[in-house]
Formats: sequence, structure tokens, C-alpha cells
Amino acid sequence: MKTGLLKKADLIIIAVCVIAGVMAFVLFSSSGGEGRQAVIEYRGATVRVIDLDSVAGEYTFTVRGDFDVEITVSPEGVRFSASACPDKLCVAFGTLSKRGQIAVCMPAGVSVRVRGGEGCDGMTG
Amino acid sequence: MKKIALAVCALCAAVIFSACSGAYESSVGYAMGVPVTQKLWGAGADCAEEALDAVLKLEDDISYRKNGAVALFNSGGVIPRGEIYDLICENYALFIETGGAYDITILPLVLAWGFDTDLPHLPEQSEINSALALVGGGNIILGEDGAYAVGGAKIDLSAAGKGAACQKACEIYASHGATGAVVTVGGSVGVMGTKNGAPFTIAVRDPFELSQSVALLTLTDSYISTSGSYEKRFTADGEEYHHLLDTSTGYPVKNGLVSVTVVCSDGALSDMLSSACFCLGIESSLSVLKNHSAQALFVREDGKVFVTPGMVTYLECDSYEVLPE
Repeated sequence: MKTGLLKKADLIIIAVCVIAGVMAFVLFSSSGGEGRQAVIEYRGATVRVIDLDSVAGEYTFTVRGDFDVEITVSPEGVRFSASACPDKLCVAFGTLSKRGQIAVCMPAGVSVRVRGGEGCDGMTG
Repeated sequence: MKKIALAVCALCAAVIFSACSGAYESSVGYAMGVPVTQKLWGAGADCAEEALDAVLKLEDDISYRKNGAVALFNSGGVIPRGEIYDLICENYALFIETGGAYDITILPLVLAWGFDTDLPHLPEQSEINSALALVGGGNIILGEDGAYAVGGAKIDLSAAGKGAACQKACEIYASHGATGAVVTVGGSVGVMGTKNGAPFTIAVRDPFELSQSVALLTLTDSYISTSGSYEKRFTADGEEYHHLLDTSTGYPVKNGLVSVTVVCSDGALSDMLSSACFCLGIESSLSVLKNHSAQALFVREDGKVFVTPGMVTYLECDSYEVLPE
């Protein structure tokens, strides 16, 4: 059965491909992400992802790395608030709130970074 | 046939739609004791995986803690001609150029201070003297058959490693046809191409407020590395000590600098120059930077920022002074 120049089967194929394209768009775009997320990792493996834009109040949790570190999340951002590591340099990083910011506790192997939202593409130092 | 053509057209439209949306592939790994972040435009996850594998392989080769080329060198072996040999040659050349201020045979001194551990400490003067007796780039022999040590020299390539890793990754991105990429290995960054035509923005960490940036660099096809006294440090007897050691005294460098960021077209060199320039101080760094067509941003203890003239075109910073050519 013909529908103008295209057969019904053609329209179905086009519809499927367009849906696949939209899904691909959603999937790929999600890696860029519009909202800010704090990503906590231990030696490259994601431990926790936090939607920073929806944080209402301050809370704290512990990540058990090579040393235990305490992470505090608040509407202002995310930070290492305490650490059992020897040098405590991670605590000195302060609060991260913009895309591209990263803090690392090298002795513990734990890192915190912010992705999504406005900010830079990377940080040196 | 018509159906296939239609399907191909629709898929092409979908791909173009996705590409125009600014989508990128993002991944995070861990190597050289730090996170490795990768963002790729125009290439897929397999490319990021290949790059991370290459960085891990490089780590095996250049870490004195592993069982690769550098460990072999440090135990009296010979590194044959090839990639690591070339990297040692590049480091040796900078040793000569900086009059020994930059020296990869610094490892015995690093070990004496415990900067290879989580618990660095103030060594006895006798330990520093013993370590200094083993330090000297002249104890590296670069022969026809390869590189080897004399006089008990042991090398540490960590001042070049993260920058070299960024370059390794960018070379792999290019071979996969990526149109843009940004890779960070700890504090070293590599940017390749553009993100859909736009340059990348890289923040320079503020040494006084570590979560913040002291400057932004907007650039393409470059490598950026920073050496700062805030990175590894400890306090003993009320005095603060950092990990950037002066090979003439055996103690941390004290020249009023707190960080140096270097931008250039070679990954390892950006890393090496950031350490070298920290040790040399601002004035003595200028000719070395010029020789390598590199640009630098210096932050002093008093908070003042100084930049080389070539950096001004892509720099965003609240307050800075431009250094002479």
C-alpha cells in the first residue's frame, strides 16, 4: 500500500531511525550533562555521584579508601572535610562547586570532582 | 534498496544531530597515583580505553616503583634506544640547559625526605649529604647501546611522566580521528583540536585557595603542567617543607615562588619545564622558556602573578604583570 511517494514500511523505518537518533542524542548528551554533579571516586572507580543542584542541606559521609576520608556536601558544593591520611592536604582543597574542579587525596586514593554546569574543561595544578 | 538508502539517510541525520549537540565521550581512570580524566569529541569509548592502557604502560616503564625500564636502569641495567631512552635524553638536555637545577638523578634525595611515601619527614643532615653524593646528571651515560648509570645514580622521571602521559593520550586520539579532546593526568593537561570549533578553557589552580583558580587559559593543541609547593608538604619544628628540592642544598627550593604553570607543544616538556622553572626562579627561567617556545605563569608567595608575553593572548586573570621577552 502506497502513501504518497513512500511506502508504509519506509515510514516505519524512518520513524525507528529518528527515535534511535533521539535516543542517541539523549544518551550522548548525558555524558556532558547540564546539571552539576559531584563524582567521588576511589582509584578511578566511581563510589558515589551527587546531584549538586538538588542539595538542600549539609550532610557528611565517609569513603573508605586506603585511608578513611570524610566528604561534606552542601548547597555550596562538595569538599574533603576530614581525613585519616597523614598529610591532610585534601582538606586544604576547600569547597568545589564548578565544572572541572578536582581535589585529590593521594594517600587515600580518593578524588572528588565536579562535572556538568558552567565551568572549565580541566584544571592544572 | 530504497529502504536501505532511507535508513542510511535517517541514521546520518541522527548522527549529525548528535554531533551538532556538542556531545562528547567522557571517561575517568586511575594511573600514576592520580585520576585520569578524558573527554573526546568525534571518537568513542574504545579510543579512551586505548589511551588509558597506553598511560598505564608508560607508568610501568617510567615509575621507579614498577618493574619497567627505569627500575631496570636504577638496578644497574641498560635502557635500550627507544621511547624511554629518548625521554631520558630530553631530561638530560634540560639538566645541562638549567645548569643542574633540573636533575632526574634526584631520587636518592627524594627518598631521604620520604616524599615517595605518605609520611615525608625532615632527614638528618648526614642523610642529606649521603643522598647528595649520589645526585648528578653527569652520572647518566647515554651510549650507542642505551642509557645506563654510573656512580650509583638513580633516576626519577615523575617530573616528566604526567605530561608525557597527556601527549601519549592525545596522539592516540588523533590516530582515531578525534576532532577534539582534553585529558588530565593529575595536574597535567593536554588539549587537542577543538570542542566543535571552540577552544578549551583550562583553570590554573590558585595556590592559596586550592579549590579555586587563579587564572583561566583558553587554548587549543597544547600541553599545560603546573608545579606547586602546595602539592606535597609537611611541617616540622614549626617550619613548612615542600617536595621541590634544590639539588645544590638538598633542601626544598626557597625563591619566593609557590607555583609555576607552563604551556607548550610537548607534553613531557611542559611537565619538566614547570619543575625546572620552579627551581630556577622567574629571572633565570625566561631564557629556558624562550628556547623551547614555551609560556609560563608564575605565582609568588606575595600573591603576585607574572606571565610571559606570549601567554597574554589566551589568559584571563584578575591581576598580573607581563615579564620581558
